[in-house]
Formats: sequence, structure tokens, C-alpha cells
Amino acid sequence: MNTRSPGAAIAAAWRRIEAFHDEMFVAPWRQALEREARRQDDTFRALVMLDALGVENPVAYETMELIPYLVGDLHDWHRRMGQSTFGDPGMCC
Amino acid sequence: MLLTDPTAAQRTVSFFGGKGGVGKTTLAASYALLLAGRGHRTLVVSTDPAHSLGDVLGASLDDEPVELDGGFWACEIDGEKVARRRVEQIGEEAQEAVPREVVPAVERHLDRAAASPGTVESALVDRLTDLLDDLPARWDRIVVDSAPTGHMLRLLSLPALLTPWIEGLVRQREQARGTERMLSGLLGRRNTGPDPLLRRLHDRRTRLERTRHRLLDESVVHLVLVPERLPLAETERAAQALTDAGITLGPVAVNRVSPPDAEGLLADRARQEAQVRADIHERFGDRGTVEIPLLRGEPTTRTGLTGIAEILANAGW
Amino acid sequence: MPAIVPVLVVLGIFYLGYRYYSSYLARRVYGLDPEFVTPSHAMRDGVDFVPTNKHVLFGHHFTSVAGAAPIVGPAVAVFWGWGPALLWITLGTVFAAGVHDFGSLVVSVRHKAQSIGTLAHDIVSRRARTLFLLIIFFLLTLVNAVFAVVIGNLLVANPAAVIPIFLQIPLAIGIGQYIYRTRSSALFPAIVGVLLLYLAILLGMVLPISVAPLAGALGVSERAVWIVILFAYTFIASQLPVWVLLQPRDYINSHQLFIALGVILLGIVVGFDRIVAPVVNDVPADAPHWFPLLFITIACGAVSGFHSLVASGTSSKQLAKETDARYVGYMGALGEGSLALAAVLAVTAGAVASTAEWNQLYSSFSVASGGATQNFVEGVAGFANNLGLPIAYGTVFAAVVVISFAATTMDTGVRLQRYVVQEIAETVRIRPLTRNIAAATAVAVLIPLALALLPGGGEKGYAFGVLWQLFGTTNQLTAGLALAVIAVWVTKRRRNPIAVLVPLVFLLFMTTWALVINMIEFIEAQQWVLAPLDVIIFVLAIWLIVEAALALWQAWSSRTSEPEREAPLSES
Repeated sequence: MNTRSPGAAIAAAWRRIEAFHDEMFVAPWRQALEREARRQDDTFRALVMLDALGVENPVAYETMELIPYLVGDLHDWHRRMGQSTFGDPGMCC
Repeated sequence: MLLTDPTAAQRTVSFFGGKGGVGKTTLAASYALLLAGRGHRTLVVSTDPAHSLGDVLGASLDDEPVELDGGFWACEIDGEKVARRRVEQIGEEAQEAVPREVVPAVERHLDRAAASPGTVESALVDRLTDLLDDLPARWDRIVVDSAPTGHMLRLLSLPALLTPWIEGLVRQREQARGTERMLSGLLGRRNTGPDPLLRRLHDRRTRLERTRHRLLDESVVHLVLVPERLPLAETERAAQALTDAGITLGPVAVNRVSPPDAEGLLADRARQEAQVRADIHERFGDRGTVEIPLLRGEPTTRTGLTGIAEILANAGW
Repeated sequence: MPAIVPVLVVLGIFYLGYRYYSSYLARRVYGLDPEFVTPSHAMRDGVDFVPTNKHVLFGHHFTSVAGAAPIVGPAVAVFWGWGPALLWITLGTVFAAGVHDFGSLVVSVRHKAQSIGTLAHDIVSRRARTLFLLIIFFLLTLVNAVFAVVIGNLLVANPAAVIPIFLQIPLAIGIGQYIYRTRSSALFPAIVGVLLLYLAILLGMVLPISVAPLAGALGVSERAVWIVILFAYTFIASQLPVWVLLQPRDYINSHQLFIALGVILLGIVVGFDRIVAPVVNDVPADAPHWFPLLFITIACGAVSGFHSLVASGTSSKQLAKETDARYVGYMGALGEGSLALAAVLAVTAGAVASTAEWNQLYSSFSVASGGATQNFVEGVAGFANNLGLPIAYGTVFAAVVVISFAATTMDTGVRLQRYVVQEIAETVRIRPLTRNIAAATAVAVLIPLALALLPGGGEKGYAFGVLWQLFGTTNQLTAGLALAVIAVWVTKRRRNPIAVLVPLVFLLFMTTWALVINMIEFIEAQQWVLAPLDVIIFVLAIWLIVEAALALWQAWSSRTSEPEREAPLSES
């Protein structure tokens, strides 16, 4: 594929711009959403598995059948719950 | 005595509650027999952890209703057993659904959930919901012989108590799913379809809702007491709590009333009781009271129960 | 003097600072180790902890820290002449901000990427965490108050900016939804979004919107109306999920930042504007003295405590190699300093054609500080005009950029403040605030709202610059706390902490002194809102000085007994 048409060259350049732009501008957005999704997932998990955190859980019986879905990355979750977080510091001045 | 609450008599579920040892089980069994005798397919259920329904009916009962007579069923439910069964069932399902190395963790957490305070009561309500759901397919009437007052109150209010919890969980899960949906859009990924957790939560919620409505709209509670000061005080408190919870109170049953023509010790009792009975009448007269006289022996035979049933029938139950 | 001269001089010093001073810091003070396994590898989770290329990380770091504050401060401070302002910006950036941003990043990387609040607790003292929360509380309160006033002033001065600013909200939401739903690449929608925003400016110019009739009917100032609208908006916006508005809006803003920087830089180079303002201004006798107030008027731009929050909370989790900290941290400070430089040039060269004109804009501290941001906006319009953009359009464009940044900061600030309020409420056991998000948000919104509504910037009441200076003190205290953490850490590692101690002592000294001067001023003027606020911040400053001195003393005495060995391999 040595003889590239100008169209293909432009397309390749566009893709490179897109890749750079993606890493520079879209990645923080993605990361913020990933963080938010994980935070909400963690909260949900904490609410369902209150007893795993040593808190009395009045709906333990009702939510029992959710447990198999939630034990997957329990280790990471436990670690995150122990970590002190300070909001989302993505704050400019 | 006539019922002043016209809807109470038409209600399909009757709870018998009161202080321990006042004769709830006897009255529940008698009432169930009365209903069965009128041709209603009737189930009598005991939710008291210290079951005595089987003893009263002279039958060995368990979780699954057995038909003792034509159209007359009885069972005793045991919260711990129900919870254990559920844990086992979920554990078995998990064996197939989750990776092998996760199974021990699943079981550990299930055991923890089963040991959680409140689980036994939730399990009781869960089983009761199954039985209530068989109305009207399997039975026309259900009579519940409850645990002592405090327990019964918790049992009756549990669905209303748990529903907001489940709703909170649903909201949290929906929020998380919403963010995940946006995230997968941003990642250029397709959505993963309906969420099994959300579906299960919705199922639990509708189930609790259904039972809550049954308890509010289709149930009536008969408080049972003996004509003494302390039981009356407790009954008054229970009546207040039930009314506050929006639960309909039916006629009150006053058990073991000493005969008016008694002599000696019993005559003294009868005199003391007279004042309490008057108070009971004043307090509960408008919803109806029925008095069951003190019987010579324990009413454990069917004839004894039928006798009480007749008194109830005469009182318009 | 041609504006290009100070640009070259300052950027030249920045280059030297990076080339030599940051290299000294890296080797001698922070002892960077290229072999050190950073948290991004050790705790890699694909979300927060992701090893990231240093140029990309610098881009992320810079876009998170750059905002409206390094613009407002210098635009106010040139009141004393551009000489002192530029001198403080340059020296502050090289010797304070660089040390601070770089150091926060390094200390955080060496402590599992923990945030500066936790580091203060672990390294300085247990009480320092509470101190940190209180400083941040006042920092966020004041940043929201001053930014609301800044936006209010800009919207009153630029009625044409109202439509584009308000259209930006549905535009951002729409771009977000488009990308989420179509799962398409985000580049094309970004281009379209920015183009639409700048088209909306034309619409705004046709249909300028003024709240004067409403303000007249209510008997309040136009700015007050805007401030109330802004906080109502912030109250709602900060409770939306981040993906709805905040993130797509930030996304548009990050493009705007580079567009605006490009316009300013090209405009200066092409236009060859001359600085018409005096090097040192002959200020009126009753005006506040530049010493020490200059050092709190320019906070962000010379040294910014905010950077320690971003460096320790976010960037440290993505640093691929410890040695990248020099590039990301120190360059982040230089980037902020360059923004401040641009602001100085915009208000001394771009906005005005003659010294007489400038003297009018900066006739008194009250006039100067109230109009500072508008002067910057007009300055940018002047630079944009060098590139052929009509002044009227350029002014609205610059106003839109500044307002976008300030509004996003308010949104983020209120969200962050919610955590702070909840955490403080937990410490002092105020139950309703720990549970109820709306209540915590109300606290986060109502206090700055009240401060912003106080009369200011006019003949009566105080100058906007006074509120701004209070914000500056909290920002310097945040930086001071971070520097204290860094200094203690450096001392414990038996390295020479002098490079950290000098800016630490300088900042705490200037801030405390300025607080005392303003306190006397407030009490004499019977400003019964500002005076207590000043006293509280003063108490926090004293507290910080005591904590820092105790921790440093302890670190210094213990360094003879127990060596803390983390010596880099590269040093031998």
C-alpha cells in the first residue's frame, strides 16, 4: 500500500488528530464518568452489603439474591471503602 | 353483638394478636373452624416462633399447609427455616452463575445476610406473602395466629418499613446504571441490556407492596385479652399502634371471663373483672367486643374449639 | 514598552526556572527516583490509577487547574503598576508555585497518591486535617462569592454575552447526549459545539439582554439580580449527575481554553501592542498599599493552593514515572503564571490605547477592582482585533470564555463544598447536614450568595478587591498548608528544605500581615461581615503557623536519630 491516494492521507491524518484529541480532551471526561459510575456502584454495593461493613442491614433478607452479582471484585471494593476520598478534586481556580 | 365496622367482617385475612398466653391460638383456631364450617376454604397459619397451633389442633404441622378437614388447612411457619432455604437456593443458583472461585465468598456473604437481625421476620413475611398470594385460588380466608403483640406489630409494619429501603436501592441502582449507560456511549460501546439486579429489586418491591396493601385493605386484626388490668393496658397500646399504622381493628375478644354466679375465689375475681370489663367495653365497644367465659378445662379438643366458635358466631363474627 | 518584551523576558525566566531550578528541586530537594513504582502502576485500576504519558497528563493537569482566578487577580493588581505585578507573578511562579505544585505531586506520589488533606493529617498532625477542611471551606465559600460577582459584573457590562452563556447550557447537555447516544467519536461534536457557541455570540449581539427593568422594579442592582440567578442555577446544576452538564461543559471549556490562549498569544505577537500603563502606579493616598496586599491580590497566577488539590487528588494517580512530576507539576505552575502574564498584558496593553485612558480605568482601587475582569475582556478583544476580529465580537467572546470558566468553577466548587460541609458536620456532629444533600448544598450556596450580595464595587460599601483579597488569603493558606506538608516531608528525608521553607515563610508572613491590615481597615469602616470573616481566617492562619512550626521542629529534631531512607538510585 505504498501509493496512497490524497483522500487516504487526509483520512489518516484525521484519525491521528482524532486520536490525539481523544487522549487530550475526551479522556478526562471518560475518566470522570468511570469514576462516577464506580462511585455509584460502590454506594449501591455498600447499601446491599451493609453487614459486610459491620453495619446492621434491615433488608438483608430482601436483597440476598443480589449478593452473587456483587461479590466479583469485592476485594477492590473493600479497599476503596477504606480509602479516604476527598470529593472530586477536578477543580480549577 | 353487632359489628360496627361493616368492612371488617368481609376482610379475607384475620390476625389474632395479644399478650402471650391470653388464648390467641385457641381463638384463631376456633374462628378458622367457624369459617370452614360456613363453607369457606380456610387456612389457619401460626407465625409465633413458639408454635402451639399444632397442639391446639392435635396435629403435627409444618411450613406447608395440610388439609385437616374438608376446606380446613393449617400450617406453622418458621422464619429461620425459610431463611435457610432461601440461602441454600440462592447458593445453588450462584454455583452455576458465578465463577467457581467466587462461590465461597458468595456463601460467606449469604450466611452473614441470613444471620442479620431482622432476617427471620422478613422471612416470615416472605412466606406469609406466598400464602396470601394463594388467595383466592387455594383459599377464601386466612386466619393468622400471631406472635405476641410486639412481634405482630413488627410483622404487620415490616412491608411498609422495608419498601422505602428497597426503593432507595432501586434509585441508587438506576442512577448507577444511568451513568454506566452514558459511559458506555462515551466508550462507543453498546448497552448491555436489562439489569438483572434491577429486575430482582423491582420484583421484591412489588411483592412487598402487594403484601402491604393486603395488610391494609384486606386484613383485620382481632386483639385478644383477658379481663385484667395489665393485658388491657397493653391492648390499648397495641390498638393505638395498629390504628396509627393504618391497620383495621376488628372486634376485640375478651377471653376467660369468670362466670357471674361463681363462688369463693372466682367470685372475687369476677368482681374485679367487672370493672375491667366495663373499661374494655367503654374503650372498644364501638368496634365490638365478644366475651368468652372461662372454661372448665383447656379447650384442646375439637368440641372445645367448636364451642368457642359458636360463641363467636353468636356475637356476629 | 512593546508587550512582546515582558512576554519574552518572563517566558525566558520561566524557561530558566524550569531548566535549572526545577532540576535542582528534582535532584536535591525531592530526590526523584526514575525506578520508583508510582501508584499509577502499583494501584492500577483503569479508572483513577492509570499510567499516563507525561505530555497528556500535563494537558489534563493544566486544563483542570487553569481557570478565571489567575486572570482576575493580576487584572486587579496592576492597579499598583505592572512592574510589581509582573515581578511577583514571575518570582512567585518560579520560586513558590513551581515548588508547591511539583512538591504536592511528589509527596502524594510517595504516599499512595493520597490527597493533601490526608497528607496533612499523616505528615503534619492529626489536627491538620480539620484545619485543612476549614481552610478549604472558606476558600470555596470565597471563590464562589467572588466568581459570582465577577460573572455578574461581566453580564451587566456585556448584555450580548447573556444569550451565548445561557445557550451554552443546552448546547453542552445536547453534545453530551449526542455522544452518549450515538456512540460516535467526540471530536466532530466538539468542533460543531464550539462553532455553535461562537455563532450564538452573533445572536447575542443582535439580542442583548439586560436585567435593568427587573432590577429597577425590585429596587436592587443589576448585578444583584444576576448573582441570585447564578446561585439558583448553581444550586440546581450542582445536584445534577456530573454526566449531564458538568462534564460536557468542561469538555467545551477545555477547547475554549486553548482557543483563547491561541488568540491572546497570536494577537500579542501580531499586533505588537504597547504597554501604556505605568510600571509603578502613583496610587491615590487613601488606596491600599501594595505591600503586603499585592501578595494576596495575586494568589492564583503567582502561587495557587488549588493546584495542590488537583496535584494530590488526581494527577498523582496518573503519574507514570516519578521523574515526570517535574514536567507535569512545575510546568503546570508555569502555565498558570503564563495566564497571569497574559492577564497583565491584556489590561495594560490590549484594553487601552493611552495612559490617560488607563488611568481612568484604574483611578481608584474600587474602580480598578470592580472593572478588572471587564478590562481583561476588552484587552483580549484588543488582541483578537489584531487578528482581524471585530472588537465588539472579541469582547463578547472573551466574556463568554471567562464566564464559562468561572461558572464551571462555581459548579465544581459547590459540589466540593458539599463534601467539606458534610465532613465538617460529621466532625461537629450536625446530623441533618451529614445526610441531606440539598441541605448541604444550601449551606454551600447561601453563604457565598450572602457575601456576594453585600454592597461592593461602588461608592458606598467596600471595593470588590477587598472580597477578592480575602479569597486570596484563603488560597495562600491552602498553598501554605501544602508547602508545610512538603517541607516536613523533605526535612524528614534529611534533605535541605530551604527551597520550600522560603516560600512557606514568605506566604504565611505576607498573608498574616495582610489579614491584620485589612482587619484594622474593616473594623474602622465598621464592616461587620468582613471583619469577623477576616478574624476567622486570621485565626486559621495562626493555627497553620503553629502546626507548621511544631511539625517542622519535630521533623528537624528527629532527623538526627532515625534516618528515613528512600534515597533515589539516580543520585549516586
